[in-house]
Amino acid sequence: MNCFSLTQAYRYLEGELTPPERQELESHLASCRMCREAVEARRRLTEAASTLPDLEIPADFSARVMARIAGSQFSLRALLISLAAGCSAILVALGLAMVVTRQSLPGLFVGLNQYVLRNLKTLSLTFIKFFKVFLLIFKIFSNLIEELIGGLSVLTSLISPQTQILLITLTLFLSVTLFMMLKRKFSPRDTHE
Amino acid sequence: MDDDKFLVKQTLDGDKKAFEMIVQKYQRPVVNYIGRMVGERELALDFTQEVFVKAYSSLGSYRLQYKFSTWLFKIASNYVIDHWRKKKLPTVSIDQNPNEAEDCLPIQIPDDKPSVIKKLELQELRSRIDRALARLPGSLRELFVWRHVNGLSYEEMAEIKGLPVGTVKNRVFQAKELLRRLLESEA
Repeated sequence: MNCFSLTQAYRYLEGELTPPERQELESHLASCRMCREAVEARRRLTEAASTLPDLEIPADFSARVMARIAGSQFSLRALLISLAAGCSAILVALGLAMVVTRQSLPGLFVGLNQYVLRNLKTLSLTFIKFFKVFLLIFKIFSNLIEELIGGLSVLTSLISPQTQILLITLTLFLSVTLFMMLKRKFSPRDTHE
Repeated sequence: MDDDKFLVKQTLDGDKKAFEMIVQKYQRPVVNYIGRMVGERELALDFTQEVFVKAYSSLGSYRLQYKFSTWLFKIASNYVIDHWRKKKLPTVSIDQNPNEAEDCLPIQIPDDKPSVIKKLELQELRSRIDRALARLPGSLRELFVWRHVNGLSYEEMAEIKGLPVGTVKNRVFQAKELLRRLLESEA
């Protein structure tokens, strides 16, 4: 037999040759030192490659992955919760304003509109000042906020989405009830009676 | 239903602990694979994390008739290829139709000089292989790592890459031969 191809050598090492092919090759190896050395070198390389050391993994790796998953889920949930919370806050603010000013909703909007137009310059300056203060506070407390968001993320991952929706609905319902109660208490008595 | 498929089903039913068990089972093979592909342990840990996050978010698209490990390695492979693209590293796609000659190892009379591979201590040889791996073309390195580091079968690799088993085998042989030559020339 002549010297064989490398593919045959690798197939031999992988145990993929048919018994006659293997026999033929082995009898060649017995008589050809160069081929024997070549096959041995490739066998050693394969052995070493198959026992390469594992890369080190931190003990808390899977916990980190799970926290990351909770975080990525949080982003969508947080958006929905923020929207719901924002709407609730606007409703509550409007309700309180109606109770305090004793005006109807359209009246409140007209009044607000007139007030904004009258005090546009002052309001703009105040808004800018508040915005600057808010940015400063945000810079100072950004780490704290991050921790809070992380905590909220863990909290929301513990509460099922259904429970979260239930809590938001309950908060809205309580706000509306409170508003109705306050409105009734503070509304002027009918003087025509 | 095997363990992986059971855990996938549990995860889809909302049991996050089941997915954590999947992570614990596959973190080592995936880190070993990505680590050898990108050459940096820290980067490999970050990428592995991303791979699991991606796997979790697309678990709904996993089909139970396939092996979970195959599906996971496919995600990891895509991630590595994306990384190379972003870094503008040459990414000779293994899925491209290669020319025929490339798929065949040349018939060759064995080397006439004594191999240094046989002389090296096993540990020294391993660390040299680790270093030389970085010099293999990405597409060959990937198959080599899957075969020898992760112990995947040729059938699994062929399924991940969508290539015939014979082609995958030839390329693994090619990778080994190239690696051997790199080691011999280095010594």
